[in-house]
Amino acid sequence: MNKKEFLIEIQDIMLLDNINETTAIEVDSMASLLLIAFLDEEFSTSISQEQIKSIKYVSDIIEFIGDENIK
Amino acid sequence: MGVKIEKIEFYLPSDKLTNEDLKKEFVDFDLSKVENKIGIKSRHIANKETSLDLAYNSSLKVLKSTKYKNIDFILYCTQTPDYILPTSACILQDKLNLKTDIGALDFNLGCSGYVYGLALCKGLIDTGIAKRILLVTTDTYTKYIHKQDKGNRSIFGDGSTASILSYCDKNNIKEFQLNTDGSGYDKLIIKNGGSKYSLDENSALKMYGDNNYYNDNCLYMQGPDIFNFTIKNIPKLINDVLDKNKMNMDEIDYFIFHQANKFMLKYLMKKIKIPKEKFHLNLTETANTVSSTIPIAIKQAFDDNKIKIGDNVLLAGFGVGLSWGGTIITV
Repeated sequence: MNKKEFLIEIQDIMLLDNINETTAIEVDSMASLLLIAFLDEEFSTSISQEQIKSIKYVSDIIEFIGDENIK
Repeated sequence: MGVKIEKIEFYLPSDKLTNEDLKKEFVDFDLSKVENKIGIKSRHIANKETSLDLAYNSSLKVLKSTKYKNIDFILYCTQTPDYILPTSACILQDKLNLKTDIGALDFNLGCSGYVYGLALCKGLIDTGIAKRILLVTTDTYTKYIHKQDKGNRSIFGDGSTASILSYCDKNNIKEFQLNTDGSGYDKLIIKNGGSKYSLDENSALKMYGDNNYYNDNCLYMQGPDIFNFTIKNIPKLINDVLDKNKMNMDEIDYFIFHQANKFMLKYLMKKIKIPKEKFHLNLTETANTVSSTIPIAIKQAFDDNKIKIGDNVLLAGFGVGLSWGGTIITV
């Protein structure tokens, strides 16, 4: 998955338009489930409720996954 | 020598809580999200009835349609008993006018409870301790959900099921895989009211998720962590159950998982690669009834001709504890 594809996925999960790495996000309960499923499916990684709570920007998700894992 | 499920009946309390009802209480309640993503439109609520009342009604239904007097054991699964003591199964024996030379016990499990109940039945019947068992699942979680907790109020409903398990020549309940991880005990919990923490009239109101409120006298669920637990462990559970029974996916005619919520179930279906037509998904009118979802689903699937006599059905229960388990039944 490249960064453009990644941003489109996050955009769909967060129900936002035209996001970039600096976009501020608020992860509600449904978005939490969608994000968990997305990270499990695409990156085989799990993110805890506590880790989700600390997400403030799109860049926080990229940092969690590891920038090197997004082409 | 084997065990079979002779009959299943369920009973749901008459009072209902619809999404429209919830919308009146919570202005920010998202009707379409709950219907489309969670898959629930309404849930039955035991306002006046207790878990034992529900259990009595489901038991009466199943006993009326089978040979009433031959029950020699009651297994009663609940997390919301009428009393801390005595044992609910003992009271149910008396209410049903069953004979006194029978065994009766309660066991405390949630969404894995029916699978564990089947395992207990198999053990009791295989060892000759019992020949015909009344297996009851019954819960009234809604009595323990805070009025301001719209998240859990939208997910859970009340209900009870009663199954008759008996000896048969064929092995209609196959091998089990049972699992436990108590490190996640606090992911789904009612903290107060047991012997460790008394009920506290002044328990502080706490907020979680999307403006949901609860206190420690009430049910609390860390939804995302429960989801993580499920998607990590249930695919492996399915493989383990198949391995134990030396079967493969193609030999399973139908899959019935604990009906937790639509989103979770659809994700599991996709991850495990189960064909849509072989996968049970129906909690629109009943919601998550904890240990009762699987037996309700078996009856729904049979009545709707989704399963027929001779079919192999894989059952998987998972949730509070944390506890999870699976088996394969031949209908």
